Amino acid sequence: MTVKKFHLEHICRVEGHGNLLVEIDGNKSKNVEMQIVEGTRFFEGFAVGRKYDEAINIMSRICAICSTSHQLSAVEALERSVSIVPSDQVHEFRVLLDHGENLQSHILHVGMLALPDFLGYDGAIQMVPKYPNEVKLILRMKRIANDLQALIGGREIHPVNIRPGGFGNYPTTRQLEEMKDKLVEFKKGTQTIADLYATLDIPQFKNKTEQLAVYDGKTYPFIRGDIKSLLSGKITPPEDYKKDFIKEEVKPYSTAKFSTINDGEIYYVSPLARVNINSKFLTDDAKALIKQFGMKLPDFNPFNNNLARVIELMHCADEAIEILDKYIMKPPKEDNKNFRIKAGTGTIATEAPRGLLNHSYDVNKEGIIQRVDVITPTAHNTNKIEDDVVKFTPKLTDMKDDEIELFFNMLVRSYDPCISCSAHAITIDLRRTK
Amino acid sequence: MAKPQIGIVGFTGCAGCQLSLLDLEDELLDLLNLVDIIDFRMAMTGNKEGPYDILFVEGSIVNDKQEEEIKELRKKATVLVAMGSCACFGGVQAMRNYRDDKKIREAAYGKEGAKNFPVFQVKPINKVVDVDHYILECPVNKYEFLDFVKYVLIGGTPKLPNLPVCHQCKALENRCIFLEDNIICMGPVIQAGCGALCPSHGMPCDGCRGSTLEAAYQQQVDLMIKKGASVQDVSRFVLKYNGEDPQVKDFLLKAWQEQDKNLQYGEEEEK
Repeated sequence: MTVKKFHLEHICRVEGHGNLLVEIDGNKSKNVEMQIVEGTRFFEGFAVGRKYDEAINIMSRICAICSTSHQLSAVEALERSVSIVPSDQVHEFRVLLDHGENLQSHILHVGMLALPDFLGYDGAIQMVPKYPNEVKLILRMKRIANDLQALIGGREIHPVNIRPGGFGNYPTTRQLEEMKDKLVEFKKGTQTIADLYATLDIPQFKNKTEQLAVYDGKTYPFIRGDIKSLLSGKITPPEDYKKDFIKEEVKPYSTAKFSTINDGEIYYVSPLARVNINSKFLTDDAKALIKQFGMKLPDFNPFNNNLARVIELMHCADEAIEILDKYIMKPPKEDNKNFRIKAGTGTIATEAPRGLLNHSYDVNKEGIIQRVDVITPTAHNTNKIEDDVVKFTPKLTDMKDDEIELFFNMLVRSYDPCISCSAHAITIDLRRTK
Repeated sequence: MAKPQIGIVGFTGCAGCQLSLLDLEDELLDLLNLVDIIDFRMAMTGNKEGPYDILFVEGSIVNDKQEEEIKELRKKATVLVAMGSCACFGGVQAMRNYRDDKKIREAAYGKEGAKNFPVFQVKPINKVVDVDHYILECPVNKYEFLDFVKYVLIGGTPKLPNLPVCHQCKALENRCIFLEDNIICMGPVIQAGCGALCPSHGMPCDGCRGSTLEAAYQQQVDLMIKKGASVQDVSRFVLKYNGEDPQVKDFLLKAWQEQDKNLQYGEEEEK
């Protein structure tokens, strides 16, 4: 039997630079490498020595698509480090801002990055002649999601309005009302997108592995909570994420690290993991979509991440409207801007649009950062992508080479990998290097 | 006139500039009537590697392979535009140039492991190839991008406004947090064009657009010190997004190194 080699160089319609190498011998894969070739930037190196409040803007530059998640994770973890406790109002506006990012990232993915595969186009731009109304709707929804991010965060990408203890300023009641109207329109659009996705032919491949998501037992959490394992049911407090749990290793062909849990077990994080773990806390309209798609939870098909994204579009829009309603009735108060800081460690687990995100900091009593550690969703998932390729390859024997290539491309895309993120850095403790 | 052939490529950065172009939701379809996007890997498959009438480049250059790639791309592009802080001035990762990079990598990957990842000093695009135009901000200002395309379509040459952020901030009648609240702000030396975005949110200018022409860094730093900044505060504020901005580099390594002995510029390149 001959060995077939697929080397997908610079996978398109994902963020950043990644290759996938697959060697197939007979009907089995022999060598699989998820090669992240993005240049490293060493964020955890140069954030050390920075003041805690400056690091918020710096850490968001890890990645643009999830810049809001990185800023929110950084500010929440750094507040814990220096013992600042933000108000409930601050927390709710952070959730609102985070939902803006979820909506933006998900509509970008389901509408512009994934949909062209299912409809047979190079990209959303090429879909315009045949699907003008769909593309216009997707762009309109993307605009609304970005308007929400800009209203609370000051800008669509790399927000400027977040600071320890709260926000620079808050929107007016009039602005909140306008935003609510737009989100009602967004919800209608989501149903149209859901109806479209319900008709698509989604590949049926299952790989039953452990999944992790943030969990608080009360809500469908994105910003605060513990880490729950789906299959084992184990609940890990965020600060114990590396204590006999997540381990990272370096592979020579990738600038991103590879992670396992519990000594070598492959796992993954994603919108689907969130739906699997927290489905009972979804809003009613979001739950209705699970039914419409005919999904049986827990679901182990990575391609169904796209359905999970559509479900979350509905959920996040619902929750955002609820928060807007509250502050339309009772306008937000100014934040307390005076606080004393203490030295300490702050560690947090959050959900970026792509899945679990960990940020951890040590800060001294002058407010200077001494240690930084970040694990991004794509770094959590690199092992799982390779494992999927190994498990799915024996089922691809009837396919032609170009179909196999498209299949692998779609598989990688289904994780919506954020490659800049994954190659953001490596863990460095500068105290040891001096 | 034939539609200009446009390419959008990214090197090392956060992809925020490319995403900003996708954030032109209201203008994107009109734009596509005027130009052909032939290469945009973040957004589509079936890309053509040139020839480009205009090539927009995001990100900084951090290894040999990228250096070769950008040289090849330059040959295929009539006009090359650096967009965003990484491409123009090195971006946040250029902070690394002011530290002992070799030590950082060896501490992380081990002496042998570090050899797997040959990284050298972070370079803005113009350190490797000629750049015809610059579009600023972190991430790039999408309306300045649009203006640039409009200029090219009508055959004009876009110019940067040589005004500090303070100019736009004053026009908006914002309270000056630097003079009145003693919050360190980079507005006086940073190129305007963002509409004084951060100060309009009650936050200080972070300096992401690079220096105005002939920026008065010494006066800026004198004022920062007067407002309570320490020597380290000054170094941290000046060195954020623009480590390879010639004026920032010149000020830090000539005037400021005497004050902050910890500031050191790493080896130019390690082979």
